[in-house]
Amino acid sequence: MKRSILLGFILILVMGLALAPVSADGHCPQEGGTFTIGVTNILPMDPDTAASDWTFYIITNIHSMLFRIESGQPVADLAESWDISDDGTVYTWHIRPGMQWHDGNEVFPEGESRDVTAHDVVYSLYRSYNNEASTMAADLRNIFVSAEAVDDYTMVLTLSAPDSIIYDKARGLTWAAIVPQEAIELYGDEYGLNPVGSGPFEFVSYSPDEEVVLRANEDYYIEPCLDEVIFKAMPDVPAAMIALEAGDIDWWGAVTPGDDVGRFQENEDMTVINFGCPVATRLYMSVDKPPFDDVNFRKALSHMMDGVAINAALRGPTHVKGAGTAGPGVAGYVEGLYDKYHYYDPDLAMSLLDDLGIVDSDGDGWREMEAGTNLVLPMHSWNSDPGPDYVAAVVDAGAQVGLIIEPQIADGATNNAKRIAGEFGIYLGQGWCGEGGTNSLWGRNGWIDSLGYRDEEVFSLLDLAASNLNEEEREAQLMAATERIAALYWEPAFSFFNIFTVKNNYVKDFFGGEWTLNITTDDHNVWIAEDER
Amino acid sequence: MAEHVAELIPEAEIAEKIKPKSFTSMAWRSLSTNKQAILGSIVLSILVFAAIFAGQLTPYEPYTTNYSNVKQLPSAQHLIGTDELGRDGFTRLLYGTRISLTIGVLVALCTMSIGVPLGAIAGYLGGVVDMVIMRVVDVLMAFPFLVLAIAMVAVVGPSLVNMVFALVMVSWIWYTRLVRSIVLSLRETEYIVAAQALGASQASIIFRHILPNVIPVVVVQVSFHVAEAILIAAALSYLGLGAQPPTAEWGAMLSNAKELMRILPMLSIAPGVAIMITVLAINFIGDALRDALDPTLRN
Repeated sequence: MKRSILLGFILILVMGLALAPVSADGHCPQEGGTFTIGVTNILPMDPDTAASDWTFYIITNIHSMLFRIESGQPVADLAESWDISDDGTVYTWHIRPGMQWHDGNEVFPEGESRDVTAHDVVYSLYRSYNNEASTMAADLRNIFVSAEAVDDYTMVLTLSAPDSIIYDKARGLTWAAIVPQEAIELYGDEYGLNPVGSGPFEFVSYSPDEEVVLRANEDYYIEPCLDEVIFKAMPDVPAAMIALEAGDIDWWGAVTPGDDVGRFQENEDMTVINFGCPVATRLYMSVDKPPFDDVNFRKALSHMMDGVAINAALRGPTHVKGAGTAGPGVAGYVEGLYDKYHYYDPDLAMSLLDDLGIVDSDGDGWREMEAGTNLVLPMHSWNSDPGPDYVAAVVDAGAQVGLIIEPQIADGATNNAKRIAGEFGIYLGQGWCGEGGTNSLWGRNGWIDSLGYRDEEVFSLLDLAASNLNEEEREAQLMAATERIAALYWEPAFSFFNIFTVKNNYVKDFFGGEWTLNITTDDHNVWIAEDER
Repeated sequence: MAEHVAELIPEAEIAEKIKPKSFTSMAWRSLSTNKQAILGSIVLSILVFAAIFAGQLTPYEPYTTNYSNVKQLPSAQHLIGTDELGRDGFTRLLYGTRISLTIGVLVALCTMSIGVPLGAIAGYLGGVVDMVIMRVVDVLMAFPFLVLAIAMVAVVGPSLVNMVFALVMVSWIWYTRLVRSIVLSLRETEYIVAAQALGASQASIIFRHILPNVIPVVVVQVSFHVAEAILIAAALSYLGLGAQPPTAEWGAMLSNAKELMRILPMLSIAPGVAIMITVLAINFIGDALRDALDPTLRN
């Protein structure tokens, strides 16, 4: 009797093990399933033009990247390894053999794919380099000398100076998604609607403003645990938060509102993940046009608003006091910068405006630059939250000192077009974390160059920092640049906020997104514990 | 028999009973006894009072931020709480009445002043003029109203003024069609034929003889249109195409409050209820006006 009970128990155990989902190579506790990711917007997925964090999450899963970023460090992807010359100007990349382009599409019919080679990497780099409007960072472009395929699996990148931030987020080679020439030639400008890559997931479909569907690439050198990844565009963030709690999306990959962060931190079924790079919110101005071209006018704007109070109110627990582009913990952060340059002092703001002759001469409560005409300052902002709230706060701050601030709220593309055209006014801006961000924003041909932010001393300091491999010196140069920017431009600052993303705990082996979204790598293979849903 | 009745009812009373009543007095009598109209008028009067005296009804300013007082729950000081910038929700609601009612009335009146003359001219003159006007109307009617309004605002840029402009541009056609259909029948009536025979000018006939007879129908249409304009303006503002921050407009307030729906639901509920009550009150009045001004519907 005892023996039969024991045999029965062993039989059940063996059957259970046989039925348990184990992947071919045994590293997936559960195979299959769909990982649904919510983001605020999705652009066409051409790595050269998709200047959107969330779209890059998709791009970095369809395409192989030269390398990936994990916890701020570069890890292998298409390049298995790489060597750097002693002077830091020559990078030799060893391409992983056997990587295949996705097949079963118009470019590569089923079974007719080919290997990804060093020539593809060279093609992709030159495609970005030759397109001045591409996402390739301006400072990398400035020191780019050549990219050559030594053989099918070795590529040599030569720079004119060392690049200390080549692995940095938001710039450098971190953007380098490798694309096939055949697809670019076939689709042209519409490549972003039909991306073909060699990454862990293949492109299936794209419904603009709705979703992108990817399926596992079975030919990838690591077999993904997931069957499918769906990216959903959810511009209505409150609705997205409800969807996250209901399990309709498994990970919210975009910025989580401050009020929700606290709530999710208390929810044991959820994990709040810190993106790891505080992001600043600030105002830019068309500094090449009056009255913004006068430093005292910029000072007045900086002192008229209580940036810290506004940011704390709008960002809640994600708020971090400070100013500059690099936040606490990031190279180039200058402590005390807010209190030195951007402190709230409306009386000082009014006094500065008076001294400039911008006064209320007709007694209607509003200041004039020319007698009889009220000074109206357009304020350009994006239309998603919390942009309009910042605008409302600045409009009120302006009213307190007698300045009319006129909201011009539009979608991101319209705003960008105004910025590129250098349209007159104040611009609400946020983002650009990391030291690479500082360079991409304030550096030569940077993001706000069209508004007149051009200072040779700032350019020089940032150029020096970008090619300085000595960390201490680089830090000092970045801090000097930050201080110079504050003293020169007085860009009104609101402080920083931490980006928190939130995942349901049934998503396993997922550490969150950085500039690349690593779902299937040597170190991670995300899987869904369906029984925990 | 007649003599017998005369004996029972005093002559003066009979005279009073058979005395013809004016159209206005009959309409007024119908309106003043209509419970919906009374309720609607009371609510609308309160709203108009709130709109005019908003500044006196609350100690707070609608646009002044107070960062030490953000996201306050409803209390005696802040009846529906404060928003993320510390502004009092109830104060913004009161000032919002001013903006929403103004938009409704402005859109309806501007629309009427374009649509009614065009309808009268098209209906009375007929021919090529009628054809041109009505083809324009047909083209505009081929587009979904809200989509056309959104497209127009997208072209001219989002703002309160542009939204009013867009709403006027896409809704005058209703008046034109309505008035044209009435004028088509009126122009065949004997008094118009008589005016023509006496040599009255076309402008005189349209503006002195035809339009006054169109007014009752137009008044009813205006009342409904005010309500509809408030609703659509709120929808456009909710979508970010109308009132821009920090304007205290009900639709914009709804849009803004959705971020705080979980912790401060009253900030969302109150503007929604305000829109509903206003539209309901105006529609009650519109219904009663229609009953009062249309002899076929009057008891």
